[in-house]
Amino acid sequence: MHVAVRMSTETGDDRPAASDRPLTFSINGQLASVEVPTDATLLEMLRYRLRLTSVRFGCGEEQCGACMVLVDGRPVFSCTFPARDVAGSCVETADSLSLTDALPAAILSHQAAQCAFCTTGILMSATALLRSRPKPDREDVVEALQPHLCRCGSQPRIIDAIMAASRA
Amino acid sequence: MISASLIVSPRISDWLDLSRQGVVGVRTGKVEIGQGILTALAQIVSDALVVDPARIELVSGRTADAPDEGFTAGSMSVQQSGLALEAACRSLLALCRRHVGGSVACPLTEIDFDDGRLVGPGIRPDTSIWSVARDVGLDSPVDSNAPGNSASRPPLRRIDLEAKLGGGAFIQDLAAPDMLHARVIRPPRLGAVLSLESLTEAERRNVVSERNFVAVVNEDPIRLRLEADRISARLRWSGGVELQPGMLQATALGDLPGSFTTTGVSTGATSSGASVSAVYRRPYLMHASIGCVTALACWSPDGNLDIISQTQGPYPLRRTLAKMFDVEEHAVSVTHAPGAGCYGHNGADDVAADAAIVARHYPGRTVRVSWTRAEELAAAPLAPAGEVAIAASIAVDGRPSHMKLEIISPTHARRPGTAASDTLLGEICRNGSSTLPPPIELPETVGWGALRDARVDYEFPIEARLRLVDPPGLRTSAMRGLGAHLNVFAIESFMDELAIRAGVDPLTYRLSMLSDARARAVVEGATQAADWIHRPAGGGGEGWGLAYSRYKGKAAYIAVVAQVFVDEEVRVRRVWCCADAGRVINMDGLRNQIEGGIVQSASWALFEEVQLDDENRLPTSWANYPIMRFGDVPSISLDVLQSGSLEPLGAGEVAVGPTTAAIANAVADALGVRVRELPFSRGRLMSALLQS
Repeated sequence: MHVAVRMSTETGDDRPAASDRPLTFSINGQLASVEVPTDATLLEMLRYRLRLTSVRFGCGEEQCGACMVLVDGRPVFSCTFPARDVAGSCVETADSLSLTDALPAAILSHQAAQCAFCTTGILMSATALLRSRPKPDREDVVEALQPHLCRCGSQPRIIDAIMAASRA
Repeated sequence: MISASLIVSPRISDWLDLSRQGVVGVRTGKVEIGQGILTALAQIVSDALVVDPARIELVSGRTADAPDEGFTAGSMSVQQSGLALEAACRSLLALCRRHVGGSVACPLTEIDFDDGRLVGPGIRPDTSIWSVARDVGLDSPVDSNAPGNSASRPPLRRIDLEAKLGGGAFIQDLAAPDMLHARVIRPPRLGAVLSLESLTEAERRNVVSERNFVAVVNEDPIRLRLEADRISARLRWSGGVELQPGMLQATALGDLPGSFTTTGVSTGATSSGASVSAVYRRPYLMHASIGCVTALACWSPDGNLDIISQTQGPYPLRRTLAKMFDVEEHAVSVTHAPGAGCYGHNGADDVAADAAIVARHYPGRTVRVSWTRAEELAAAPLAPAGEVAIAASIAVDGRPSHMKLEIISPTHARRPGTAASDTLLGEICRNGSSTLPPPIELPETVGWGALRDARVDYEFPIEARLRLVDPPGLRTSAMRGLGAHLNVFAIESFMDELAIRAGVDPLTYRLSMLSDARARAVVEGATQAADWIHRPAGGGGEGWGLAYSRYKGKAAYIAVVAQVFVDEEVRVRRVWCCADAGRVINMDGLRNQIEGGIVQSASWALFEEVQLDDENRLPTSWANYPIMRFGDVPSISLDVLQSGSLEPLGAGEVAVGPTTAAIANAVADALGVRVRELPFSRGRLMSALLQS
């Protein structure tokens, strides 16, 4: 799990490299210590240092929700969230979910995806919703998913799937 | 119906590989772009060969060994790849029957197949499609008339979905050892000239440049972003084609030079009568896929290029790259890997060229390029705006005796391979070009481009003419439905206007001119599901609208009813849809595609319009190009009629035209005023009300 990759500066960067400070945090229940540039985003650290590629880049500006992860149980846009701010925190990604868990299982049984690029981010917002509100009504689901975009038009199925998961 | 794909790839072995015992290797030139095609193809093979779907291993869009099937586009994949594979499977079974029948006293008709084994009196138990393939080979031609009854199994669930709920499933997730990451700095204007003089020596060591093409390269994608942002701010560009204020308004299309030259359908002579006319427009649209296009490229030291791409057309991309780098076609191999949803000619081919250009500077190393959101929106081709002027002669019974369309549109056709050069962004910069390939109209054989669905199934003559225009500096190309979106919006809006003028219910009016039984069935199906005849009277802020079309005149039949509420904005509450796609391969996959088309079209109709900012730049963020969010999505009721036809009809794009048209008719019903320009934004509603 722990992949600390130090990049060389041999490509010609003659300025001092941004300092790579080791960050220690919990990722999907395991302790990780990772070195990243000071300005790295949480998404970059998860994708490019820990190879957790279920965390997807859509826009880098909190518009689409493809990058959504949980930090201490709260959904955050990892594309803008500074990596350094997760020191000491618990981070959860879709990799922590099993296909037999209620939410992924409902996505599968409803075939609630087309390209499925947006799905992992949506699963994290839905996870946070069902923890805080195990029996949401439809409006709660829509509100929780308002930060997310789906371009293929799977929204009706996604809402149905999350409602079904809450009844499971 | 003979699949066109069989003309290029005629042998069974072009499609099926039985070299591994127990495995059915399936090769297709069509690719997964989020539409579920691989699942549909697996279903076809599983049904036709009577094998467990788990035995199927698909090779898709790999120029090394998959057939050349051009582009995955136009709702054609099932008719092309699907029917070719089905014929290949049936030909294989016929081959097995003949081979085994010659050696046992078992009548050919009594030979059965069970999960790859041949079963019948006297047949050895170890006889299988694999043993026959070993004995006789699969080089015999596919017989497209080979008889066979496909088993009717329950629809497969998406074979790729489980993997996509975790990491590693998308092209963005691929990594090679020792991989380099690159980001291309886009010129601010088409044809802008690059100067590196403002960069320090150190910065220059981090860039690769060829004429006006420039990319920043780094081993670490995080440092790459930081470095590219710095360098991008320091690069200097001069010249190029400035976008002009107001040029993106659809009303500006008519000011561009060009004359009506291309003639589409023409089904009869002009007749006299009262004349009615109206003009409909749509703005430029963006693909706005959730993921950013990505490609990996590696040049071997001896000059072979390997590309991993999310392209819709692996072979056309290969041909284009070979020409671009002046190498043999066989020196280039393209392998498809899935990206986020693709709805037409987006940046997938451009980013492959980007990676190839950079990688040539690092022989033996893999270079990955992944676009930014700004590139994904502003550098990818736009879907063209358009204007449709319709005029009709009205007979005394209130029905059209003749209808004429005049369409003004930029091209829908700038895919790689449609012109001799400069179809890819990197190629344009590398060649120092400042013009795009000239606009073309696609031919009738592929269902036209801007003229697509400038036709009707109603019983009156119609003719359509096209004036192709070329807005300077704007790269337009194909997006879902091409011209059909605007043309169906225009025609079906106009049909409603004529019905109202005649004082006839829009449903009755349409049915009085529609004799095709399958067309009538979907119109009746959608309106019955919606309880159309009991809908509330319009005008009170609630409106109902109906639309019908048959995509390209040969794909699925579809009718849509929309219910909207209009106060300051339009909200689409419910959509009822009835479709007839002929023989259905995978019912849930078909439904998913139609539902998705309805939501996407509703988003286009309500929210989407490319607008320049104060500095005449295209939108680089969803903040400036909003698309539909969860809270605005209508509930959808969809009926699929099973007509028993043997021919499966394309369905991926069929919903976009009629959905927008049904919403348009519902908005007019709610307001009592017709809005003829998309999108139905607050501003458009206000100006329509003020003009009424």
